[in-house]
Amino acid sequence: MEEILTETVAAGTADGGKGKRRKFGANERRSLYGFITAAIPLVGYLVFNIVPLGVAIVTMFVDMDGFDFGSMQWNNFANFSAAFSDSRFWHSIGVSFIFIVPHLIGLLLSLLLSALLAQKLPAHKFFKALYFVPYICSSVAISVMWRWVFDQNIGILNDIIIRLTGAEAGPAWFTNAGNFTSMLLTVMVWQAPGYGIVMFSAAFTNINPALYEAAELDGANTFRKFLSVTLPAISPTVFYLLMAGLIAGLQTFDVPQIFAGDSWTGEAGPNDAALSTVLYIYYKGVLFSEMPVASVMSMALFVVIFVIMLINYKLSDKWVSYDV
Amino acid sequence: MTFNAKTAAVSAEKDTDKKAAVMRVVGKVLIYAVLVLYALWVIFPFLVIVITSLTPEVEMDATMHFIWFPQNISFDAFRVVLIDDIYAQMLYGDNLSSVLHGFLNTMWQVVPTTFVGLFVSGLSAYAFAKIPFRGKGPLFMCLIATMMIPGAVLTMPSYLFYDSIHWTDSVLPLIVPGLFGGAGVTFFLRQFFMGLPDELMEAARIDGLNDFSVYIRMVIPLSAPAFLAQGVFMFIGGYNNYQGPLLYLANLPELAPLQLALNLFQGGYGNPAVLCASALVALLPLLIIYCFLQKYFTQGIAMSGLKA
Repeated sequence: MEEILTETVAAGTADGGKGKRRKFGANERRSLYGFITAAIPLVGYLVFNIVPLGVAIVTMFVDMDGFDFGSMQWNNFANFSAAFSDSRFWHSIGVSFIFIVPHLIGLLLSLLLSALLAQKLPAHKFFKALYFVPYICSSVAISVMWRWVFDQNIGILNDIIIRLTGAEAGPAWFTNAGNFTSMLLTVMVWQAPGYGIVMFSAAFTNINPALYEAAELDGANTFRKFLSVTLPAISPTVFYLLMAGLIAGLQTFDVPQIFAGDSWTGEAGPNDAALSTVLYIYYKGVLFSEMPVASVMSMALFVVIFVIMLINYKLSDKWVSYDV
Repeated sequence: MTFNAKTAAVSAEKDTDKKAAVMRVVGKVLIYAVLVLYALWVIFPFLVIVITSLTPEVEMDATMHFIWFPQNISFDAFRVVLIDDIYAQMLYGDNLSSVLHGFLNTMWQVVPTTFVGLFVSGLSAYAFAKIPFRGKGPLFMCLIATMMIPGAVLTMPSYLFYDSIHWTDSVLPLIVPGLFGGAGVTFFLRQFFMGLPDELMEAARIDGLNDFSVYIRMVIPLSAPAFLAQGVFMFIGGYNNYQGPLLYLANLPELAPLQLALNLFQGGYGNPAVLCASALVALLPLLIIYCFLQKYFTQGIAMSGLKA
């Protein structure tokens, strides 16, 4: 449509055909300029991500000395068997699935809190601003904070527990695997809802008030209105946050690494309780210099994430409505 | 209808009104109760580290449990973090503390990349939004497709690539890719630019401005809020980035940005007050920016979420 506009402008000028031809050349130039500038982010992505990904896929099938590409040799799926016979790898997949849980809890919390904030009681803006703060805090600073809260001997949490229960000592947060996992989940739950609250609040304000009026005329109570009007209207946001939470959970790295990362032994907390897949891939690739095995694990994680995304997407037909 | 029945009906109505009013008040109280409880839960760890960071070391050494209310307030821990950092003097050989070193490194590594990345993403977004060119559809599909690939999958392949071109143990992997702009930012800005009126830009182009000048002189000023929202978001990402520096700068403490420096610093000190003070100092810059630009922090998210 724009082309038509410029051509009519060109045709309208006094020098007629000649001007039109020059204008056409300019359009070609403009098209080229558009293509080149539009493609810059893609070029960056191609060079720094897709090409390396291609190389990594090749290295999965070959043996290599460190990063020396000259020494490549076909290895009969040795990297695959090394990765898939590694019990720590399967353990790490399990751990990554556990790390989805805080994102699901965060999703529910953010739904509840933003529903309450949507009542627009006085000071709701203050609460909303406050609830977002954990989201902008760095995982390193958060880990410092919570490690101190959970400190075995002089932390505030065990102090409270001892005062309330009269026990001799609080739970061993850092040496018992189950406790260690609960601690990490607590930290992640603390940080998780901020993002969802912002998204849900935007979704709530976008709901057409006429729908509520219609429901009221039909005699719907508050609960019924939430079920029949609010939930369908925000279901796309729930779907998006669910997707983002699943992906983020499966890619957890920072908090487990800072709490439990050990660059000497390659362990991650008691019984590897904090060994997420991405942390194990990091150990394999960087600490143990087994890059091809790390590549296989990366690909396997990709497949896991992709399948989860696909299942979530397929199921969404049943409960996400885009027509409200 | 008798007079009595009428008054009875009225008083019954009054009763239900009263009941509804009570219910409303109870509802409000309940809502506030939940909101305040959750606010306390959010503030709790901050409060704990503020208390501990101000507790004098002498008091902490004297007891074997958490100190809720220190008898005296001491800023020694902050002095260690900001000025008297012995560990940093060993590491860098100058008098700047680790955390300040880290902060300065973060600034020069993140701010220029954010600006250039924003500018380039906008350039690309302008082409997608306003310039007709061949292959736009497929190019746009590719842009969307890149957003589907989870980042964790690319970390190791990229590391391998940077290692083969000898970029590991340098800041280049943390800076150069960002200069090409990002798919998410481009997508968001394109959305915003599409809302700008075509007539304005057409008029400017007829007056002889080329697309690049239109972008610089008209689109950027008109889209300042959108740029700010995305820029703030990119800045948080860079400021809080931990995995990238850990991969590429773990052997180069003098180049370590704030988050990595903070983690290294943690290894050098055992005093809880110092650890808590270092976390507070590291959090403070973003919290201050958040207070002033709060609107843009949340706008960037709420708008970029529309892509879903």
